[in-house]
Amino acid sequence: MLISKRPTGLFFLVNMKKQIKNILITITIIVIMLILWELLITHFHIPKRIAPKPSDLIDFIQKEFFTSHSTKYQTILTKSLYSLKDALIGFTLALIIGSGLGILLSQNKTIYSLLFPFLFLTQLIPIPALAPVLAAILGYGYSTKILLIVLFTIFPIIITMRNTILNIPENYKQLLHTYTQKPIILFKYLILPSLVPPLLSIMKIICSASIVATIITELPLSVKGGIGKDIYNSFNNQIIARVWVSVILISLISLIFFKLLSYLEKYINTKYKYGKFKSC
Amino acid sequence: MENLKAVSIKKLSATFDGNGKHLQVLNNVNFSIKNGSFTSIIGPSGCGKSTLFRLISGLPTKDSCKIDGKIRIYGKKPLTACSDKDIGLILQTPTLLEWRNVAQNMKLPLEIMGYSSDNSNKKVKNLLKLLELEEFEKYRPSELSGGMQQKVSIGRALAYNPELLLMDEPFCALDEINRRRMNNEIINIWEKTKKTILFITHSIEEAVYLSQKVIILTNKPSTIHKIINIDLPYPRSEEQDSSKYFKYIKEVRGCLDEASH
Repeated sequence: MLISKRPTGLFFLVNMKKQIKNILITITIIVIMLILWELLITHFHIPKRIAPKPSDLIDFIQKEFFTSHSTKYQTILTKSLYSLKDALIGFTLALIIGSGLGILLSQNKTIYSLLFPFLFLTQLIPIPALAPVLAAILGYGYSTKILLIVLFTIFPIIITMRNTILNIPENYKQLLHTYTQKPIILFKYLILPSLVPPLLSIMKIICSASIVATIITELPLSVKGGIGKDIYNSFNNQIIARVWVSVILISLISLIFFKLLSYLEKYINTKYKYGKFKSC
Repeated sequence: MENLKAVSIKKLSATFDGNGKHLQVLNNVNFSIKNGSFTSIIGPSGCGKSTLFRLISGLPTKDSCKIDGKIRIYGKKPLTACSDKDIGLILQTPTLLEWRNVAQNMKLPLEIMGYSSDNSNKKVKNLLKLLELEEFEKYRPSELSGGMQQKVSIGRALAYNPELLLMDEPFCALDEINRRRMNNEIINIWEKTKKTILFITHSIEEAVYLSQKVIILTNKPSTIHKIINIDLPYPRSEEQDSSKYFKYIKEVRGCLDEASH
């Protein structure tokens, strides 16, 4: 009557050979693209202020990271990490508040009808347009920056959480209802485990969004220290190589953030199988 | 408990009103079930078996459902019986939590009801032995066949030792071979535990094979068409007393045909 065997071994060791092959292919493609990029820009004499060559970027990296600066000088890495810290704060707050609101909206139709239009409105207005409005009310400081990141990322969390709870099969709720009528028990044993997979999934989606939101919010606000402001100033001062390297660095940070969350998602979903409902 | 009727239903009617529609599902249903007995309820498809099941088990019904009449489980209202742990539910699908293994799934009601860990572990161990699931203790539901999953859900229902087991077409998704195997298993469990079982099914053979009494419901608005006592000894098999067994099947089928019109 048994239909399947238990999986053995660690999931990340499976297909390791295939993964190494994929990484090597990716590296090769990047190297070829860099060579082509260098050759094309040299051949067509494209000025640095429009598009720098990879060798210009390497020069900039060497100067930025491998030469000594004054103690007050902040490298683009320091500034990127500063922005990442703010992105993480916004990301965490959005997860907490978004999950809470999602749960609340799933429990009561009246609250949903009252709150949803306001939440949806935040999605219709782009951050650069919303930032001055909020800044006028809350000031041009740090709290406005974090609030904007939260507003930019919270909507998909609320919707995902609410839909997940509403889609829990009715028979599971009924069964637990026969054990207890306490809503907190239903939450602990059924709702909370059901929320784990969509939460992990939505974390992957909003991780990059929170970094993008951080950079965009830094432009109109007077918060110093972030990479967004630095990109803006570098562009105004025509230090294009700095802009390019900053963008590449931010992309790499986003990619690492995304990959870490992907591994976390895969690990938790494979090991614990939360939120999976099985029928005959 | 011994002298009390396990289930007593008097003049039960259920009507759904709403959106300009009026649908009477149950009409003047009366029956009672003896403690420790095995009773099946059978009726045409969509006749209201599941509504009756929900009402007996104390599950919430739609706001539009109006109920008249009296349901008592060991003399108590269904919700009270539920709170007093008198009712164990086994649904059409096993409704097991995939993130818990077999033993943890059986332990779920005990955890919720606040049993101590030692006590729960002891109870689950005994159940695993009773259901011959000891070697699958650490398996997840998806690693088991449909029949075994349903066995785990029976174990979960038995964990807190309810007096009445309510089963709503628990083997409907199984193939014929596994269904027959599970039928024998359920008789075995019933004989060992002496629980009262109320079994809802749409299979005539299953109802006759399992029960001491078969209650036949009519089409909507559903009422009781006939109650047939199955006078066959346990353990049952089709070979043993086959003429009597097939006579009962024929009788139930005939009643069901009448009830469907």
